[in-house]
Amino acid sequence: MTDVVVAGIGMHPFGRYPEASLKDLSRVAVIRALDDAGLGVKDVEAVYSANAMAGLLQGQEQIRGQSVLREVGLERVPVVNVENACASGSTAFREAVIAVRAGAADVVLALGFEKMFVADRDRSLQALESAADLDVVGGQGLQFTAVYALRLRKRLDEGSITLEDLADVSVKSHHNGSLNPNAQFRDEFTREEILASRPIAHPLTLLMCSSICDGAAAAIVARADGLESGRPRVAVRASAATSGFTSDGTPEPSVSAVAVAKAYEEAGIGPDDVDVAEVHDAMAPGELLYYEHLGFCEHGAAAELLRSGETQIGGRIAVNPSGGLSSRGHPVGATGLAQIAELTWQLRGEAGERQAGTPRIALAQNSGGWLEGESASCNVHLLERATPWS
Amino acid sequence: MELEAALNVAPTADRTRFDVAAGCLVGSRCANCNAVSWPGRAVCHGCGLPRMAEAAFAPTGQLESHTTVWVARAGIEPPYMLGQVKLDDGPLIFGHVRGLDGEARVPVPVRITIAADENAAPRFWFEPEQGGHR
Repeated sequence: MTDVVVAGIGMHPFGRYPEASLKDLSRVAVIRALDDAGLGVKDVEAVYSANAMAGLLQGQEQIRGQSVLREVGLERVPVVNVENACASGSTAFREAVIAVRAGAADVVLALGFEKMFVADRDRSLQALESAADLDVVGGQGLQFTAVYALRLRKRLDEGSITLEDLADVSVKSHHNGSLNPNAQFRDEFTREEILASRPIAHPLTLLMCSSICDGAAAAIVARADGLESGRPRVAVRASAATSGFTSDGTPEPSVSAVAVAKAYEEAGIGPDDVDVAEVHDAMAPGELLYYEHLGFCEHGAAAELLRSGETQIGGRIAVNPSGGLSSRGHPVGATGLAQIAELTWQLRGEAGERQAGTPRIALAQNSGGWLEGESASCNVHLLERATPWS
Repeated sequence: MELEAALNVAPTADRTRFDVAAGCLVGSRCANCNAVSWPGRAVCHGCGLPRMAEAAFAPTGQLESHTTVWVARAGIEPPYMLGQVKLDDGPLIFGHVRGLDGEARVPVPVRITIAADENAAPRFWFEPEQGGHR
């Protein structure tokens, strides 16, 4: 199989940018990614463009990719527009990896962008609700804060996770976000402040949750032998995807567990090999559940792993050094590619104050949508620093 | 080809979802593998065969999780409670919960109520069983 590398990454900082259009957000991410790869606009042979809500929020239902790419002179190449709710960005990245592996192109751009701040906040919430099957759950006031709350509630009642754990993982998220110049939320908070913040979906409070956000992120995916930049090489070791299923309430492996098992098998490694991870914590406490789904600890041991400090920057396996979705921000279509950007910086040793030691293997887990019991889509990627740390 | 049976099912809009008189949800159950779904489907997600038969589910089940939501949505005043219910002989259902203490520990035995008014929102909700957990 063709070796595939992440040749360049770029972001428009996440946050509230009323003056920036979809084109502006995308322009910054694409130019930074190309610049990072040492490539020009005309070197791009194909594009996978991710966005979830521009149809409902900006009215740009069709050709979302082509419409923003012309701003940076990117025309006359195949453009595939990708939507997979909160997993749109990693879906675009995966398709770019597959295209390079297949020999269809040597240099492919994966772009994700989203602009969720609009004048009427309820429109944004309605657009988010469409990440569920509206034929089944429409009009019930579904929101994703509630989805995470439902997942965590059972664990609180079992006693395997405490309210303090929910707050402490949020403290970690805000701390990491405070170190990230691309993050939406950069203030630090104590356990007490987090627990005392406004209730959103019990037991989740405002400071545990991601918010509405604008932003963009991009990655240049390329054949390994096509480029020599002289910097540490970041290779794609595995790309695994699955979709949701009808849950009848019987315990069974989650979409994340299914996807990660495929990824570990593809790479021939296991969870103990992972040095740094970005996981889909749309609400910071969701990170605890992913520790278990991704095999970082046994089922039921998430709180113990958090309390050990091993998932902090500097620990055995740093999780969400970027601040994760809840602090870095979660502009839906861009999130999966922001994870790839963070992990690439980490593997190259370019993450500044957030640098989590000298990682070799990095894991990105991005899921999206909801089918009343399980996420609707999930992608897991494993990246490797193929250049030895000197 | 057996799968062609799925070409001749009623359109989704014509399928029964509620039995107001019996006070229960109506979905489908697979005659081959017993997998259940609500609303009903043409092809079974469990075995892939088009042997889904209309099925009325028990009005009772176990509330597996719940959350009190404090964010207003169009037409819904907070706080309101959402939950997931495993019906006794049926699928996992997402819906509103009424009359339950926000601190109640799960699981909680619950019973469904279906509004007679087709335009009611929500059309159905769950409440704790009489004599059950309050």
